[in-house]
Amino acid sequence: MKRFATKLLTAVLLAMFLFVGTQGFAQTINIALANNPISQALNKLAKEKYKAAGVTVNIAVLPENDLRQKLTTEASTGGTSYDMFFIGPYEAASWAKNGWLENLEPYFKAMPAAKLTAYDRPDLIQGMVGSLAVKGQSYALPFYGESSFIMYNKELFAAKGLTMPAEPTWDQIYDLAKKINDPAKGIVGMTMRGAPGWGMSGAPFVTIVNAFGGKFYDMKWNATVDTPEQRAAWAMYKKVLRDAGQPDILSYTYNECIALMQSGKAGIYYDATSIAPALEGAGSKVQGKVGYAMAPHQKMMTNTSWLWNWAMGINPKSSDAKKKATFDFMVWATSKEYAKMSVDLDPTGSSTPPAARTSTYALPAYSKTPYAAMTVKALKAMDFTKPTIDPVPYVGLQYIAIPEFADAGTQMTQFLADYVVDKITLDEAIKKTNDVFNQVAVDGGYRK
Amino acid sequence: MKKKNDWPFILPAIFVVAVMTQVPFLLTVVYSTLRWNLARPDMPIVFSGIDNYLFFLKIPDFTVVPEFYSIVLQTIIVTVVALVICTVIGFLFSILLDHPIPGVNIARTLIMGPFFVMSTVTGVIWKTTILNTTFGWYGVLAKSIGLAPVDLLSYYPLPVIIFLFCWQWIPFFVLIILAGLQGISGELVDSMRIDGLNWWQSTFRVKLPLIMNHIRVAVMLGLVFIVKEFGLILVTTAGGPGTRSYTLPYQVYMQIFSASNVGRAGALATMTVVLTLLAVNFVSKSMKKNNL
Amino acid sequence: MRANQTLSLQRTAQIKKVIKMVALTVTIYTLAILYFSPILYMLISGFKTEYQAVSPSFVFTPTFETYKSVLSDPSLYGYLGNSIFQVLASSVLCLLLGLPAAFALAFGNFRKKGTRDKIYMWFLTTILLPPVAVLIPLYTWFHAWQLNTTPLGLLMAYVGFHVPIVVWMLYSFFADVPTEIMEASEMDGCTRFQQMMHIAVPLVRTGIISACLLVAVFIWNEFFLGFNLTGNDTATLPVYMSRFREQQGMFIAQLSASSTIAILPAIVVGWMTQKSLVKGLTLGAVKG
Repeated sequence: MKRFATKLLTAVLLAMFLFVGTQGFAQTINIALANNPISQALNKLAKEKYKAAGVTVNIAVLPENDLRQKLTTEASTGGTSYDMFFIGPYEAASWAKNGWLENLEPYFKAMPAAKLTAYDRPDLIQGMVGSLAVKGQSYALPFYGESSFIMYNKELFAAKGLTMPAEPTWDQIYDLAKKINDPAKGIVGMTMRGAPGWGMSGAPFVTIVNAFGGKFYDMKWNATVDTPEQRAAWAMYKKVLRDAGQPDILSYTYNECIALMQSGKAGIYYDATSIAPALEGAGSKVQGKVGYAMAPHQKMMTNTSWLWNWAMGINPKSSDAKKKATFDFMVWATSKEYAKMSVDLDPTGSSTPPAARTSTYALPAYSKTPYAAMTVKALKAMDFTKPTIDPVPYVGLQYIAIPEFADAGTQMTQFLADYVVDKITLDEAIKKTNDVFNQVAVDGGYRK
Repeated sequence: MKKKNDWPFILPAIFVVAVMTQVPFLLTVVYSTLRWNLARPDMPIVFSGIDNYLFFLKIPDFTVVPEFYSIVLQTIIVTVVALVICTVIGFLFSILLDHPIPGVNIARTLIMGPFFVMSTVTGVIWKTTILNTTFGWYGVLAKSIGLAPVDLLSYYPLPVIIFLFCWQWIPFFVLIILAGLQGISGELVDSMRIDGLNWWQSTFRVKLPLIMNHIRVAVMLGLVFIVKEFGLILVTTAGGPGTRSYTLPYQVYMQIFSASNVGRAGALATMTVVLTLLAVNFVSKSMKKNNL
Repeated sequence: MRANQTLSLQRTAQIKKVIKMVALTVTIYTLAILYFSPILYMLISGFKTEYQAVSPSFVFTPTFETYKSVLSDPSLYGYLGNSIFQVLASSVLCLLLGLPAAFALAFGNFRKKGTRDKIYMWFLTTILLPPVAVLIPLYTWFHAWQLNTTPLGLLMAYVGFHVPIVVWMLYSFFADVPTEIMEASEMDGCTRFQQMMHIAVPLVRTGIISACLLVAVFIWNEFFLGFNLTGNDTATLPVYMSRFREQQGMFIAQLSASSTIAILPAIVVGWMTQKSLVKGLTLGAVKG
């Protein structure tokens, strides 16, 4: 019996070592992407088209909230589960300073001249590149960029004899949404992100706050959530969703909004410019029927949209070989060839990374897409250093560029959600949010 | 007689369990006394005593209930209500399934099924195919009888979570209680019939006391597993709206992964463990006291 | 006259019995099917195309299309493999560690009087420990020693958390073994090890199987540690399934098919082993 037990133990240990050992033969790089349409396209194309000698690319597509949480904790604890960080300018700014992102300049210097010319760094949209660089050194490459705008169903509008102004106000949007809203026919007036998360419902919400003239901190880092401007913004967000929005308010991430809009059951949709391709792509019932307008303003007349890009950075803790392999993949995914290939494969443009390269907009098929012109207009109009009417001590259009905002912003959207479904009053929600932001100013050492 | 040394039999187990459970827990308690924010490496890690505990426990204004206490209350509500429902309905189902109807094993097998389903699948299936007001059975059925379907996940998050938890764990209770019922000897059943006891008396006056041990084990195990539950909440309500359907484990998760605050997460985790131990102790003692 | 009355009374009683049986059967089956229906719907939806699966309905023409695309996705096998590995390896290791411990606790001679109870209680309280309490240190250790890029890290966590369950169940089974048998074998000069393997183990075979199975089901379904302590390579099925909580275009058929693959092993194992599971759990119940 002793012999049997020893045999069993040996067998188990052997099996374990074999299993573990075989993991290391091919160089594997681990990548996590966010669950949005353009990244899903990258996942597909990478599986079919990316070939690098001796390298396996292991991609997982995660819900956006999960992705942010995992990557942030990973980077801050020096982990090596992921070799590439799929992040945005919010993370890039502070991570570069903390040494959680690899400086890409040495990799570019080591690139063969021909390859570097073909890659054409100046072709990348400089606003996007700048948001990912520190002192002119790139720490991440923009995969795709976005601002925000209004997308609306032209057919539903025509049926009710309504027109969308080219640069609407939030009041106008609300009125239009209410007119289109028709629960008996299952038509939603306006769909917007409702699921909490600083990068989820927080994105459209903070631009609404900016549009109404609100701000989060004054120049002395006192929280300014309890102001008439902010209250008006909170009320507008709730009004739109409760009076003319989707019934499952809080379950809607942009994925659910996209599905609703694609099914032709929503009149207006305020979200990222990078979502328009999905509405014009295969499988969308509203292909060719979508109109576009600038992000709504109210008290603040311009620059009421957001700036975001999903970018790729290298985990500085990975092994040198993996870092090089990751850099090669990043170069492939952000290259002109990738953009061209994605348009060739899908002329509707729904797989093509928008707002990353100027040359993308010169591609004949892509420049003819219905959303290209408005996207370029939106991109030109934004300035993320001046998000609000009054001067503020922070930058960022739909977020505040401090590390604590991930938590404070998420809490804010949680209180917002509570308020939207009538679990707490506006006063309570405002007070709680104000307290959180004040606490952050103190804990984070911002308020001297 | 040879002196037998039993320790080598036990030590490996003790070692592994201690290293993976007790040692980390002690570390968590240590971390709870530090001010340590992962997202701010420019701020040094300093000893801060019970500051993290006070952050959660302090009541600055007695008219507003601090977040922490709401979450503790939510955890208690979910646990107690789920346990009571599981016990009562588990008992009733077991009584039903104790009858020798044809093919009773098939019925038992069907009811047993949900216990073996992983909680993330339960959550995703119910959320997408049933509770969705546009594409799910709930929405479709409500509209067909002319009612406007209310988004249950947004407006009634705690009841939904309690309901789903019960759906998953009632089979477990049935498993145990049914075994207890079937352990009651046939002679006793016959003698009850001969004595002319009606259904009510025979079930509640005779059978119930006999299976109290089984019910106690089911409740204790159920208590432990409900408090730990995380996946179900994550995939259905994500703790929302606001923090309405947060439980303590979910709050700890958010403190680490969203707030990157190790110190506060540690304090919260320590308090969770203390509360769990107190709860288990309390339930076990009160069940023993009432001869349950 | 009397005889006729008795006969008709008997017949009424029989008819009453039959009606009762029929009513019971109908109630029980309706209840069972209703209770199981979400899973039933999920099982059949795996055989729909995405278009068919958008609106809820039981009427459709079945197809294998969705299963083909789900089964041809190589990443699924990664998660499946990880789950299988974790279940097999942890069950074996839990047994290897827990069996001797339970045996020694049940039959060992300890110098101090209360040691046995103290150790047993220590194991029991570990079952109560919520995984949140250990997450932070485990997470930081795993990252420092790169344990979350190999399955060994999660394996150690699973073993550490589930050995107490094995000890708890097997202890009550061992306690059932009459002490005379143990004493007799001692007089015959058996070593402890021989006692364990040749005498105790064969007697509690059902208990060992049921303990293994319970632990296997728990680990197959475990989510919290699997979610937080793994990377792409090492993530398990429950983690993979949690990603479906957000829409991914039209995905209900794919969701159903993947869910079926994820839960089928656990359900089948559970069904086949109901009896042993119950025995194992309830013996613990009777002992307390």
